[in-house]
Amino acid sequence: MSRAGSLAADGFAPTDPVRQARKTQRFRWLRTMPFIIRICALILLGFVLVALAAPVLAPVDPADQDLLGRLQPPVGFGGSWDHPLGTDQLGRDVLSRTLYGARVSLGVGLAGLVIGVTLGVLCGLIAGVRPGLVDDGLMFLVDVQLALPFIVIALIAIALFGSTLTVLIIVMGFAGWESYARLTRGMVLGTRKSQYVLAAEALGASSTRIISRHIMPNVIAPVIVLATFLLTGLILLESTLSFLGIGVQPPTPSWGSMIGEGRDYLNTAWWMAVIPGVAIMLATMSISLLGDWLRDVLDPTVRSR
Amino acid sequence: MELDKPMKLDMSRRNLLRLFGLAAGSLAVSPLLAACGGDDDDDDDSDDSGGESSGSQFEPTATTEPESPASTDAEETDDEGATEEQTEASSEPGPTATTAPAADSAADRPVLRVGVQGLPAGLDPYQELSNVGTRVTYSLFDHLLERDFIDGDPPGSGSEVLPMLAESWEREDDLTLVMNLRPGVTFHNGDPLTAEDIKFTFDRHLIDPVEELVDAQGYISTISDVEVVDDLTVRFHTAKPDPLLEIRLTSWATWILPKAYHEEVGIEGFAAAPIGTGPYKFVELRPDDALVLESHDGWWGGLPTAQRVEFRVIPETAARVAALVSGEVDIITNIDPDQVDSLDGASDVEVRSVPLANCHVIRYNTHHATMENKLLRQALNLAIDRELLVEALWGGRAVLMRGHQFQEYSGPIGGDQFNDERPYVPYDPDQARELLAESGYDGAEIVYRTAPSYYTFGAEAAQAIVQMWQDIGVNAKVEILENAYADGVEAIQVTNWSNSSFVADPDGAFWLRWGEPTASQRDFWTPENPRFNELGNMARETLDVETRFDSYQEMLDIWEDEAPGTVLYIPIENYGVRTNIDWLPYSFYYMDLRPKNLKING
Amino acid sequence: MGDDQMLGFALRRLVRGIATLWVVVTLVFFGLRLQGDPVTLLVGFEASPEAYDAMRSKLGLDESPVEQYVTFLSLIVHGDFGDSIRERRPATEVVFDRLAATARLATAALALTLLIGIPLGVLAAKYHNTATDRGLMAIAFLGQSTPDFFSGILLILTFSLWLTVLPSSGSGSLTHLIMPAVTLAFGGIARMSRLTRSSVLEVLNEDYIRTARAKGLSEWTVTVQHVLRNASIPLLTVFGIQMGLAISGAVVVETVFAWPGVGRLVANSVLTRDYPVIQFAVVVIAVSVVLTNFCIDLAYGALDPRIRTGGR
Repeated sequence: MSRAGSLAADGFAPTDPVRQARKTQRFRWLRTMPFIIRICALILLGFVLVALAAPVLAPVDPADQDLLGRLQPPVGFGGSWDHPLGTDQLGRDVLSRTLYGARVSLGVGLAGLVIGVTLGVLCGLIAGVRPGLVDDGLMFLVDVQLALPFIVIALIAIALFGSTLTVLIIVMGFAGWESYARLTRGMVLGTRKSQYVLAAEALGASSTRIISRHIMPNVIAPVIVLATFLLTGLILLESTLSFLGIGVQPPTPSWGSMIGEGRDYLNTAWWMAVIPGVAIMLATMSISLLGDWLRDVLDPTVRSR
Repeated sequence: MELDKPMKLDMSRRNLLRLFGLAAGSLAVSPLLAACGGDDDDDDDSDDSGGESSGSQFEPTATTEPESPASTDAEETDDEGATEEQTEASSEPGPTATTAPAADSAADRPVLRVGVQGLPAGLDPYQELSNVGTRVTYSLFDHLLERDFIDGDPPGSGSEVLPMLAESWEREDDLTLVMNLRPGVTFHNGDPLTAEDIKFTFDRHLIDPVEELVDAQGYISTISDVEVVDDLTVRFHTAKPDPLLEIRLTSWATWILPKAYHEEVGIEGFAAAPIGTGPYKFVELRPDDALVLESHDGWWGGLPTAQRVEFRVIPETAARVAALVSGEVDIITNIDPDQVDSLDGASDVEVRSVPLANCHVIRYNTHHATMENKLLRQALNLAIDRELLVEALWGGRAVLMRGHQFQEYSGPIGGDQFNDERPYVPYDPDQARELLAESGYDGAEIVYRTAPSYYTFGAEAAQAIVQMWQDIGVNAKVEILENAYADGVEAIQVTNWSNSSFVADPDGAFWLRWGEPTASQRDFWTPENPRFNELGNMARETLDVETRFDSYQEMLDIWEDEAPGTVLYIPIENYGVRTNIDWLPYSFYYMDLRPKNLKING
Repeated sequence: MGDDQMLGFALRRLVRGIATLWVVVTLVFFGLRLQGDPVTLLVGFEASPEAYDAMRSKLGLDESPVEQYVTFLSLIVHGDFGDSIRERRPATEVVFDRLAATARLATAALALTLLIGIPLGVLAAKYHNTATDRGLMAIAFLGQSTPDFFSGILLILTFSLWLTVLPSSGSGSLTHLIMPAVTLAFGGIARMSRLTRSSVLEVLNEDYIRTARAKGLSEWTVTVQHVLRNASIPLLTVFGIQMGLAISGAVVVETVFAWPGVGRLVANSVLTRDYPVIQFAVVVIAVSVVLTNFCIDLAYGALDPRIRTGGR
């Protein structure tokens, strides 16, 4: 269902750590950020600010209904400035809901991402440095997760634990952790065989030291890039769960639930779904393009061209 | 906005007139007029009106027909114990290659395609009692008697009782009803209908039924015995006088089944490959995809209008609307009121609506610690602005109620049980606040549970009502669950529900859902006032109209005082129909595709 | 990899695959039973406690979950997954009926993914770091940037309602396939083009390409020749993901376009608590995922010797 979890495919082959080590160049690339990427970054920054400042920016409470003023169009399409982006099927202000929706959609996505990344990277690291039984066991868990249809997990988990934000975030954490685990493990295995790690081991460095000083730095970059890809998947996943009727509970607004509720109205009151739809599109496109650019910057084999 | 729009009823009334106009050209006018005059004459020779339709407009369907990718599926269905006849019918390669021995006119009848939001998993009419099930099973099965829905006021609501499989009937005394069956009626497999089939049908769910049929039992629980007099005569016995027996026989859980076939295939085989006497016979059911029916050319009422009927599952509203407008289907069901405007603009398509014999209801779990306070429940009821919901949400199209009663109680088939002086359910936020203060409500959370789309506007109304409750100071919230009604009764505080009127009488609506033997009294509410159940039990065994009237009014008073729930409004059901189809929706959920209510113009 | 090594690898994977299946089925088995039973949905809300209990025992749900589990295991050994509670025929049959539709949709979506994703990726790489690159990638991401029910309904409104050139829903003809396949392919196209792009970029920097270029071969010839080989790995990866997605992940697309596939079956079965169908569907999905991964691992090894050494 989700495209989350699947973006793992963009898998990184372990890159040569020696070339990777030439970190100094990285910042040059930050300075030469292309125009379009700058715009993406600005858009994202904007969304984050909006999410943080939603209570200040929103003209009215996003849950406030006005049944006699339902389905009012946005300004310019016959609507009034009372509701610049129109109202929904219960007369709630679409602008306020979109602003607050940024909070939930980006927040849930990020929180799910953090859970997934933490879980995945930890698993991958442990599997990578403890070959044998521990590695096999953890990779077996990854196999199980891959073979278990996510939709079944989501439906069962939400039926079991209720449809609260916390449950939603945890469920989303389970969408994609296995890709971080595989990625991290691959990177660790690649790095462990590199000359400098072998050298450090020969010099008697402790394994925690090796992990923190030599392995982690190599793992972080690709994980960050993968995370940008998966984040878009998670933001969309939230809307998919709304579509399936197991998303964010009303009256909490999220972009996904707004599109879910508004989809029946595309023909009559398009603003209900199109406005959060554009928001979600801008956000995910920006994250994707930014992620692609980050990968170019961080992946030395591409950078050298 | 919507408020300014004319009532959709006008549309259906227009359509009714058109139906009359069409019928006037043929002999079919006589039964309709006869029905108007209140004559119990044998009707339904309107067959000729069905036969004359030509299928030219429907040529395009030919391209979509080969569609059934399911010649394999069809075979699979056969494995489920169909008769040989069935197997032959459904394993035929081309959908158009019917077994119809009939004349040319039978072969070029059009195909009717209906876009529905869902289909039942099986087709045993007694197991599929919901709107999704009865909508389709009504084309496969007939009742002994039927209500004349076309002539109702407004059109689509049932007026008097007409013969169906029973040709005539007579009350021998207060406790017995004799019915004479129509001769020459055959089931889809060719077996003739006899009194044995009638007895079998009722015994199946009345005498020690299997669990799947227990729900059906409740609808006609007054019948104590069905006796076969001769091949074409049956006698119904009731333990106590039942003033509503004839009307019950037009309603739920009285569809006639074939004894021999059912005994051969068993209850599960029957649900997989049903056989009835109805105008259309079963071809194949692909759950989540489509149900295909085919004309039962030997139907007793004449040649059915359509050669085939396809019910196609299109779950998304937008996709259903698109399918109708682009001509992929002829009728679509379940258009919520906000979509009506989008269809009104389209060409060759119109919305036909009918107020259902059903009301949306809120049910409180009075056994729940928070909800056991009567004053609190009264306050909640008073805080609901039903008029605002009807005007704003339903565009004025839903109907406000004078308590839990339906207008049809006093219609042509009702027994004068509607009190038109009973006030509309009141809205008084100030009094609600007072009651709330008086109740000692401590601010505990009150959760209103609803499914997202089971009831039209169910989730929207829930959110609106919760806000109304918050406005008087109740800490209320909505919980929307896909499986809202599947389990966890104990955990429910407030939930939405609907009550249908099945026999145009409080007994088949109010008592059926709130009376002593119901789940309401088992799981949610025990009347503090014992009069409620005393009156109810007495009223259903009394033939005296006034006693019954007074009893039900007093029961409504008790119910409103104890407030185990409340009525909201009578919803409107909207169908999208291509304008070349003459078809009228009924106040029941089922779709009547019999020739008298279906004409497909070229 | 020698033959013995290969055999050992295959055997290990087989054992691991079976173990994976077992754990998956077990988790689902108990998860479903914890979540709630289908009895009320069958006998109705109004049914008496007696009817409820009778139906429960008829379905064998009155036994403890562990007892049910033992029965379940002993039956599936013989290939008996029980009868669908909803449709009352063997669960295997119910699932297999849907597989054909799923396969058609998956194949079409995969074809689109390849036909659009690879050229997009190659072009973007050719014009790396230019506006063309960004523009092409933006296009690739476009379809993936909105929820698929949103893009799906937009397609229906555009092509069925306004232009009336495509059927809105259903699964009959080839034209019915177009919109659901496109919607389902959006994600794959984004993945494919992104992967192809980076593969091509990698190849273009390899020494042997530089050599080839130095030899005077045209850049285009070089790209096409080497890229085709190099793109096979991302192609395989995306193939695996798309397969998994098409079976279990297409529920949204299948619902919007009324496509009778396995995804919708699974979702509906969870909601109606049709245990046997979900259990068998999960087995089918898990088997296909395990098999696909196995094949991909084998193919990786055959295609790129570097991976063989890196992985284990």
